[in-house]
Amino acid sequence: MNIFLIPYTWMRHVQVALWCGIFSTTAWWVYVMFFLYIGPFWGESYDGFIWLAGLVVAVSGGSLLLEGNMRRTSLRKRVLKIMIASGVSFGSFFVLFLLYQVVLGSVFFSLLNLLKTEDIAVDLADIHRTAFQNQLFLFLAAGVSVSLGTLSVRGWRQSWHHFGNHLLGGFIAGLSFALVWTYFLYFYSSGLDLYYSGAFGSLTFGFFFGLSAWSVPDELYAGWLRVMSSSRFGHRVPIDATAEETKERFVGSYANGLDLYLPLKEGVMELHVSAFVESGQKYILRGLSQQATQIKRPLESVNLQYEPQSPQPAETQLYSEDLIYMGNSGVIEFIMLPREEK
Amino acid sequence: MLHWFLWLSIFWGCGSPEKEVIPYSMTRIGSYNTVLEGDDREIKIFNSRMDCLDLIGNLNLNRPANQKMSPEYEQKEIVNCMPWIDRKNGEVQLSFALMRGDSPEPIPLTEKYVDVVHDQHDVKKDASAKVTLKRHEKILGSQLYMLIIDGSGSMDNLTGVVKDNRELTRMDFVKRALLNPSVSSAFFPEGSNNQVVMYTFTDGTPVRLGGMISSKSEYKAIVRTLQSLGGYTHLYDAIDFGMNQLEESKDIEEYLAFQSASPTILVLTDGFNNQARSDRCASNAKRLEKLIQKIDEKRTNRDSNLLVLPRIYTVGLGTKIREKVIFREDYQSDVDVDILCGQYKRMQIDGKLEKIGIDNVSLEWIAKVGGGQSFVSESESGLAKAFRAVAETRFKWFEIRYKVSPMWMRKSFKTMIKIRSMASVSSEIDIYPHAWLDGPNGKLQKEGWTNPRSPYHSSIIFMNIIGLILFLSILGAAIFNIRRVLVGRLNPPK
Repeated sequence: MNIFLIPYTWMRHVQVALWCGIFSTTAWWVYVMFFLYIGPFWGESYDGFIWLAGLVVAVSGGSLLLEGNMRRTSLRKRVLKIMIASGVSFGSFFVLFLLYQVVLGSVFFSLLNLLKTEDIAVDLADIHRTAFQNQLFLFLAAGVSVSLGTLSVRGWRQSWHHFGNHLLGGFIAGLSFALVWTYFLYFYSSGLDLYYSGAFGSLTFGFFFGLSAWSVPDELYAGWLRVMSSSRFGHRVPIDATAEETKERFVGSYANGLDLYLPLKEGVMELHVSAFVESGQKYILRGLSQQATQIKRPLESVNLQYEPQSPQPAETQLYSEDLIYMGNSGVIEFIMLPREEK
Repeated sequence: MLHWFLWLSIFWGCGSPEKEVIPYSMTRIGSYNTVLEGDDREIKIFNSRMDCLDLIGNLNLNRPANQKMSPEYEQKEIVNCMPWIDRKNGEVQLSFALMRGDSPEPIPLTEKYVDVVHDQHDVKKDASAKVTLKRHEKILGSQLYMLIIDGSGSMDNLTGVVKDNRELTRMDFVKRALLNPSVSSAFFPEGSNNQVVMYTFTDGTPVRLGGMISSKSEYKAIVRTLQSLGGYTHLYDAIDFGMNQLEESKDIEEYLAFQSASPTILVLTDGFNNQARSDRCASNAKRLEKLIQKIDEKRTNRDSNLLVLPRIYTVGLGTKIREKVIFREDYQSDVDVDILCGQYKRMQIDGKLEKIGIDNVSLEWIAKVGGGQSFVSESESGLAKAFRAVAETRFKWFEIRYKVSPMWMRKSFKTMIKIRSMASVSSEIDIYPHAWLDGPNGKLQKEGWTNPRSPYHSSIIFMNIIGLILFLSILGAAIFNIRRVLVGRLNPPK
């Protein structure tokens, strides 16, 4: 998995979710195979803990692995980050698990009772009991633990949005896990299908954490200008400024010093258009020539030729795959591609 | 502090003594507990592969050289013996044997005489539940049936049933029942080396009819010679005599020794044990006590010769004098007059008492201590049914499957197996399901039960999920590139 396999379409928002789903499903499979082939070395009171801890470690580690792969950080750094995230996730889940047994269980059931007219029995004594209310807390704890583990590496203080996303992502992952698990438990087929509930519950956990907490960031992409007209087809140049710096790319027929050259015979002026990036990955095209300059995208076209009586050149925001027509036959395309694309 | 906390938690989580994981599942199973032990016998529920390897291995070892199990069959039997649970279908499979000491005792157990209790719910009483019993390891050795038939004067009493213009006597009933083809086939099944030895008794020493009977034709000829001899009914003495004959009669002893045959004593009577004119029901208490103590001593003494350890069945011709009898716990050693006779304890044993009914309590008592069963019937077909039951094929271990609502398996539960025929024994076993997950659901078979699915099934599910996700993850890139090809963004304009 790397950034070159993820085009800048809506699918990029789902990629991390899919891969976290793979990691969590793998954790389920490894647990099931270990239990069935080798057998547990732990006591039965730790059955749920071991399974969920495996998921927590797999999802938090997996999420950091994905990020490391996409950012192409060094192998040592990647391994270190994965270990820290997995360790923090495991540790926090272990603490939550123990607290649940000792004190949080009763508190949690008291809170549940506030929501219901009838009392929910506090039945933690039978560790073999399969019930939504018995397991819900640990599902949520698993989700929150993954959040804490990944946050410990990605940083707590980046932004409230970042922090909230992770925490809420973990909570949503735990809750969706519990709901899918419960669906198979009670409502699928004749009920009590803990086999598929485990498989699809795990998948859901990873998927929703990946979907809600962290997705492929836009900063890994950059806008590119790519020549579409036949004379210089395929030549391209990135508008690869980061948030701290600005960069403007100039397109025209001036032979020396421009970022992207197109021949005059195509009606392209010496300095025809320029493109630059603003904060928040907002790409802008500025028309600099009185010759025809038009952006075309589905159901929309924008004229950008320079009006001498206007105090400033016309500008418009660029979106990936916009076509920019210049002069008689000069065509370039704006496309979002990975920043490191060669 | 943290160090202490971690150690505490590790110890708390570890250690589940005597719990095994049910193969191909994520459920644990405990060891069985005997709830009710019956005269030195108990139900052993096999809970692990080791248990099953031991059982099947020993059974195979004890088979005659020409009847050893093939390796494939042995493996199949081991799998059948191991417990299995399919919570999706609410199914539990357990294997058990009636154990005397370390070896399984062969019994002719049928579904009717087994009860399964799932966490205090009698499974058989639940209309939606299902129970089935599969019998394993049929007794392949020879059997010796010792038939001791009452020849007292009362056996000449008429029954009121007319056949071939002649009113049948009680003895005619017995003869017709014994001659029933299904009964003779039960005593001499195809290919068996079984033998029958027949006695008739009144008072004094029982009289042997013929020698060792080894064929149906010989058997039929001997049965036809059965007749009432007149006199009292020394029932208890006849049983005592029969037991002694197993060791004292040369031909019987030789047959048992050379054929490794198992002896079964069948006693038939139409009344009470009656040794003198003045006998009352209460007079039998001490006599019965002496007999049952002897039977018990013989059956429970570890030094007893296993070859002459008989199983005693009793058959009563007539109607029961008392319907409901509750035995005390010390029934093997002590006979209480009130339990034996009830309101009839002072009544003289004569035709008047025998008209009310036969002494079914004595018969039940003897069979209970003798490891057999007691039957009472006043019809010819009822007698034939009882004889067939006595000669029924016996099995050494059993596989019981039951199905209840899957919702009953959402927590740990106890399963109790009770036998109500040869002996009243029961054992229970604890089953501890995984609270979160299960292994692959069972594979439904034709009979409506499931068999374990290989753990590889989880790999199939895993591969499918992973395959689908990988497909979806490249789908975005694929669609993006295909669309760009179709709209001509990847080729220069012409």
